[in-house]
Amino acid sequence: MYLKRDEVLKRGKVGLVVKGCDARAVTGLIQESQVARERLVLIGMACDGVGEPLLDMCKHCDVHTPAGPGADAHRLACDYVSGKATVADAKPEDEGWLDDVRKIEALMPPERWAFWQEKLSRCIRCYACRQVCPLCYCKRCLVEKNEPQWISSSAHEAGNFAWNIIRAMHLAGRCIGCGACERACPQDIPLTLLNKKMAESVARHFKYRAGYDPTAAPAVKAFDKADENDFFR
Amino acid sequence: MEHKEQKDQVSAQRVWQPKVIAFVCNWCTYAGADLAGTSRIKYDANIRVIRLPCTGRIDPLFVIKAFEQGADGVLVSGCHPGDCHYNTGNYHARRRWTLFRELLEFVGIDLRRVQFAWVSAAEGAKWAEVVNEMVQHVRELGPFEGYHVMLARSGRDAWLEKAAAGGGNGSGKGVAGGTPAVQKAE
Amino acid sequence: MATIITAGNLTRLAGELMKAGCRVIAPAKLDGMVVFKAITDEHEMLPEGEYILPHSSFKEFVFPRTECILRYRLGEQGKVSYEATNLDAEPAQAAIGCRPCDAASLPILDKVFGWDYRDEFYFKRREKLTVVSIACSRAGERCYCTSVGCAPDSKAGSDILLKKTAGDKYVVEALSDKGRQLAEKHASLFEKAEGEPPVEVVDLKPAFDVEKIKPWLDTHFEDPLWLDMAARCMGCGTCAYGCPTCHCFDIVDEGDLRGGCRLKNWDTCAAVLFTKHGSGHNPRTSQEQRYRQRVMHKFKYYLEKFGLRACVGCGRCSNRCPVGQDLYAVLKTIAERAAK
Repeated sequence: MYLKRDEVLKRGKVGLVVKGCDARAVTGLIQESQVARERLVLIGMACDGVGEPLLDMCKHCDVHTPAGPGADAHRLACDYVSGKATVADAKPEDEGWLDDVRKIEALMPPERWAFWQEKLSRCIRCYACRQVCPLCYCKRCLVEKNEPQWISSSAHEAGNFAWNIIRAMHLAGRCIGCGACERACPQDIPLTLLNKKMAESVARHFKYRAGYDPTAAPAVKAFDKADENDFFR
Repeated sequence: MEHKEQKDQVSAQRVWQPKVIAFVCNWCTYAGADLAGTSRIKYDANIRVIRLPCTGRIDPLFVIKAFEQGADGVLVSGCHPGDCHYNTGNYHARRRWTLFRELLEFVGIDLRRVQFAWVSAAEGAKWAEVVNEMVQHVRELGPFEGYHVMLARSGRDAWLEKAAAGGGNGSGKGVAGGTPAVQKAE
Repeated sequence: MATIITAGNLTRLAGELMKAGCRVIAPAKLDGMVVFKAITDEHEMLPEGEYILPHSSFKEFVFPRTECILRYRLGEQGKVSYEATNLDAEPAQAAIGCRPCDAASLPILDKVFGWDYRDEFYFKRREKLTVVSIACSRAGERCYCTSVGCAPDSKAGSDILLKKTAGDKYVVEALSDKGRQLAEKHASLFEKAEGEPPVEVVDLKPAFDVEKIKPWLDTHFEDPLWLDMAARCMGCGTCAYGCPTCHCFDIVDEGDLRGGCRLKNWDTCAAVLFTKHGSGHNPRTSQEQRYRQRVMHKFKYYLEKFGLRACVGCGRCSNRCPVGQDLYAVLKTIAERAAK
């Protein structure tokens, strides 16, 4: 997020130390033309996972060691890579990262509604989720546009519902699952659940995972004529 | 006793009518709806049509906004794949809707309240069918209580209550009209 | 002779108040967090030993995150009718088990809400609030109340102050009429003890000399330190919304052709749009300027205008900050610079 700050831009070329997951965020920014690869010197760091206890996302990480020089064109190659992770990358068939999403899906719709009503009602609209998100880079967020006011800026339930749903939608196919939003949330709202659900939908329907291939078009920017059409009458 | 209950039910049904908002594209579905009209095809009057240039212009936010205005259901309709006036607008829209409906389902919204259709300019009859079916679904589901409760808790009941109870003519008639005197706040 | 209340009777007090129709605000669990909550069962209230400081302050109960201040309706021929929100029917409320730092925020808020214009929405809720605080016998990692002139057993803002003594009991000190009335009304829950029982209050040493802060701020509006300190700030509102003394708000109208509400919402000086003018001009364009404003407001402007610092040293801003921005460390740095 700091990459787009005026103070940072002023200083020219930026050296950036990245873990595998951070490299995914940078990949996303390159894909969406938010930062030019030439402006960055990427120093990749192997990572066995962070957090005590280990963060859930780290347990299912498949980019423990960032790609280095000479990686194929469909991976973001760091200029330098330090070390090699001692833990194995998660296999593509590992769906453990979806466990908590599945738990919600197993609920009846009214229970799901009640669950989210309670969680989202806590939101105080501090926008920490947005500010720390590496892919939320708009200079002026939709919620700050008031002609018309599309999303109510008030922290009441209707406003919170609209904000959180639209936030998740705007990150669909873009969220790299770093979980910064949820960690930043002072109200303990399980925001990554929404993002993971979207990541799961994107993977299932469009065979796309965000933040891997700097040359790919983001899922919602692209389309395929053969995309699913069953739900249309 | 039974008779009274029946009467109550009848009056309750009279009071509530589903309010369904349809976001349609200008080139196909809107023309299709027009054709339904000129062909004198009758269909449920619970639908309010909002015309946009293309399904690609129909932001998921519009659906949320419609619910915020007291809608019980939302219909989105446009040109068949391949027929988009702007070539690819509906393909983009399709991707978005694929994701958005799963998101809504995930937060507990019954997907019979949010439906999608491709209706061409020649499909006046299909338009009537789609609308009737949609309204039928929403009628079965009843008012969107969950959202209405949420709105009420957000202080929006004040001007929604009458619109919802009165069949939602949306014109604002009868809402807050009873108190012509301007009160001075502190 | 000292007055004593047992922990069990404190819970009973919450129960009795609730029965009498009072809204009881107490530290309670919400998922993994301890927060101030309007409890519905007295056993939701956590025993004092299980928390140091609730995650959020209780300012929400005098200054809600969002509140409708008036409703308007559009009638026939464009006639507008409107009514102001009437808070007279709001129930009495009691905050039980809050900390002296939270209580101390109330006299600070009183100043700004009652200065050139009396904010009825704040004061109606405030007048209905009785504060029963418990002095801290432990301090959190980021507690620095003593460094900013507050204390773990500070009396400011409390109607009743409890201090822990042996055997899960608290020594009661009624500090205001409201507090004395409450104690009299529920006299059966209180007992008398001989002499002055020893109380447990944490000894928290000040980490810096707060008197040095303002003189430094007076002369360092422009200083490279601001950029250093603010460089990591993300510009979210987490610190301000958790802060017991932050009081900025935004007024918005929500409605349509039929009518609507005018709402008073929390706002934060960290946000880019906070100072944006209608003309498009924004006097605070960088995060550095915005962060400076936050510190200046709390430790210079507020002090000059109202004679109080707008900080009670609860450390919530530091606890909650997603990027580890630590006001305590910032103040310490400033105090050290000033001492040089």
